[in-house]
Amino acid sequence: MKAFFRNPLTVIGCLLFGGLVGLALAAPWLPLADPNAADLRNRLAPPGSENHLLGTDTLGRDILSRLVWGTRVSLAVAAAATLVAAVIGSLIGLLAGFFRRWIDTLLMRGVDMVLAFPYLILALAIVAVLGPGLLNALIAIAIVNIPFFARTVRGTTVSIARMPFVEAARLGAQPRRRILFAEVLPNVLPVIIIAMSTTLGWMILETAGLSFLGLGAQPPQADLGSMLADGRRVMLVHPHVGLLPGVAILILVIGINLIGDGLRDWLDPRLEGGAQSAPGAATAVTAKTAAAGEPEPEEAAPVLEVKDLRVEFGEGRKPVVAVDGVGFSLRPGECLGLVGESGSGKSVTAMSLARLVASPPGRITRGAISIDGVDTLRASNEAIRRLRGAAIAYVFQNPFDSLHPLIPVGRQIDHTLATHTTLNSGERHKRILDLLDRVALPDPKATARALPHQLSGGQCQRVAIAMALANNPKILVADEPTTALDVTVQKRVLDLLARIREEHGLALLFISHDLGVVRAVADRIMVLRWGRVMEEGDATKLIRSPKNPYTRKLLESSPRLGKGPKQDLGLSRPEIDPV
Amino acid sequence: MSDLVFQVKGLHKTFGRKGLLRRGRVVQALHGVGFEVAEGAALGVVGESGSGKSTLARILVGLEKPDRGTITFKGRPLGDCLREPTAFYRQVQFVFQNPYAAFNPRKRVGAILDTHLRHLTDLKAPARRDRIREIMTATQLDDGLLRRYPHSLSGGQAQRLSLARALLSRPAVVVMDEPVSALDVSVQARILRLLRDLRESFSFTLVFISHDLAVVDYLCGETIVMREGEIQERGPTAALLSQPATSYTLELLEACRSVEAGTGLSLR
Repeated sequence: MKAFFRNPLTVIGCLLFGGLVGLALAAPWLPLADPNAADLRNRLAPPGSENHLLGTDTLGRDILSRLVWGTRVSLAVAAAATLVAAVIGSLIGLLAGFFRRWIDTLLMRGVDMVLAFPYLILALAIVAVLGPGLLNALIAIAIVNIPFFARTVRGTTVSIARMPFVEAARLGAQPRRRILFAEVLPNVLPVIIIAMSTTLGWMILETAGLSFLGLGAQPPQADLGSMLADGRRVMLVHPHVGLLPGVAILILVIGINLIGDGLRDWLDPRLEGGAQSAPGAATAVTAKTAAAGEPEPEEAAPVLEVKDLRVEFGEGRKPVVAVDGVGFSLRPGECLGLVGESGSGKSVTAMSLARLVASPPGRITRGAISIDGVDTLRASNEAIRRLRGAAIAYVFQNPFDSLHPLIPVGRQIDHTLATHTTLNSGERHKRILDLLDRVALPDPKATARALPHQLSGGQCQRVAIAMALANNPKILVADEPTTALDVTVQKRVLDLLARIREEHGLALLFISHDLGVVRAVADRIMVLRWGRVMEEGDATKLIRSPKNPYTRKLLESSPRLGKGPKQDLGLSRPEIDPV
Repeated sequence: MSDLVFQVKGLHKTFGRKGLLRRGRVVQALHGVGFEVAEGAALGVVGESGSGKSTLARILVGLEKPDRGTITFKGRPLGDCLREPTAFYRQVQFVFQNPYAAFNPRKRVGAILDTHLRHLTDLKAPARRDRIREIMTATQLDDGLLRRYPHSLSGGQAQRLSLARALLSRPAVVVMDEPVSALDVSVQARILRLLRDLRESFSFTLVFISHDLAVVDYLCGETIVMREGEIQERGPTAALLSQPATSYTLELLEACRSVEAGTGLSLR
């Protein structure tokens, strides 16, 4: 609940909305004048007059009193209409999204028919048929808002109904009705609540609109819309009569919308980490950093040096330490393998190099990183941007995620080239074909024109590698580059990485959870666990005689052909296995 | 000759019209697949993504309908069995790849297990509680987890819970779709060992889908290799590994081995 009020705007929204609702609810007990008592001698009294704090209207009625009672009416109508629209609309959406087939077609085409008419005109038509009056206005705006709920809820229901947990309920022989209302509905509910909170504001405007046109509240009853209509006639001479209900509507709707935003953030589990704002251009660095070591005048000086790196996530007193005291260096042509299970900090380490860790919530609190002589923790955002994709390039686990789905892959490589080089478009085109050829894609010309989904996973990963190589980087960071690929494809991509590394003298930082894969490409291996270095050393030696018990455990746990996990080597197969 | 649990003949399944711009291309997921699963057997189904192995598993438990072909469960057509879901799913259960997605995030673990058991059996509340305790012990899960929500479990705990749910009704057959692929290696090893133990104590027939030959080798006596919706090869796992009959199996095997041993790839 605390998290709900963390955003100051939400607090303001609650105060605005809560204040007005409180006033409206308390109306019968407040020392207010009779809202409908006309006093023609006191017409159009200005605000601040005796007995009339906010003045009187064209018939001499007390505006403050009418405002409070009018808000009460408007709110009641809007809330009731929201509830009706939400219940009916959500039910339609749930049924259509869950049962699909003809039920979906029937219900959603019906909804489309309602949607085909301009919204206010439909409301007017309904009121015209039913006759003016608040109840009929309520029915009209409820009906025109049903499609909104039906469509929103249907969309969510469709995606939730495909979730394995819903299938699991089917496999538990649960009746369909129970699955819909006990499994699906609780997961759709947040969406319905958010939709309701945003619709309530609309409903207030719509009720006011219909009343303004004389189709809602009938005289002498006050509601915000009819007050507005009254005020319009004397707008120029006595602006306060129309302005005050207008301000009341404004405050109500702004309040509701702010609450709605807060509600959405609060109910969205993805924002749990506390990131309320978009991440900055580069990871924040909060500690006085040690100067990155001067490049040593050796023959093969390291292109990458990391010292005592510490990265934290989250705010408050208890940040999560993702990386703690990791350090290594990488020379041209060398390959270091970072190994660890999920949560070991291997990816965060890799992302920190080019300060790619989203910030907030992440930040680098200690250490020094130098890439090709540039102290990245002290460099400006602009300098970091020039480094990315040029001196250091990344290849990620899922190639489909890192490529833009709607742009041909050739053009995507072109963007990287255009950003970092001064080549003209003809030269760039030649380079693109050359790059695609170098990563062993069969038909570079055709591939360059292809969209990512037209390529296989392995081909996409090759494109991603070509893109990473576009500006002749010194360091290539490959973060689980083969994990999402099939074994046969995996082998070919590993071969490619090894070849490229040799041809280009590339320093390769290879990250994987799989010791077997890492051993296939790396000279040295570093094992991480809980953000700390467990063991580091020559790849062959480390695998042959691991010193750290955790490394040993990792090695033993991967199942091997014909062996199974090592601990079971001494045991015979269980009898029930019919071999 | 033991009794057959599943008998599958000439199974076809296509997924139609993927996208408007792709000339209405149809994806053929299964193309005339046929095999049997004997009672008490452990059958592994291996293949790369797109080989149709997951579709096959989903058809076996009634989550998808085949276009053509016949399936019988213990001699009865699958369609008939599915008309009595309670009786069928008491005997046949399924384990999903992603354990987190397989549990309703808004329900406590205890409630999820209890609902599952309540709909599959006639057990009364106290008996259900005992059964749940018993399964939790067998899958090495602490009773305290029953009060937790699924997202607060670790990956290994969540997948053990999936196994626990599948075994609650004491099914005769459990079909598993890549149950260890989403897990870290050390966790994976623990789950595989547990699975072996569970098969010993609950003696269920196992159909195990995986892309990993090594994992299948550890669990399954018999293996089917699938590629592009067709069965490439089938036989006892040991024989298949030592003398693969098709070039595809050989390719799979070599890819596995080279990644595993790190040979043939390293530049040194």
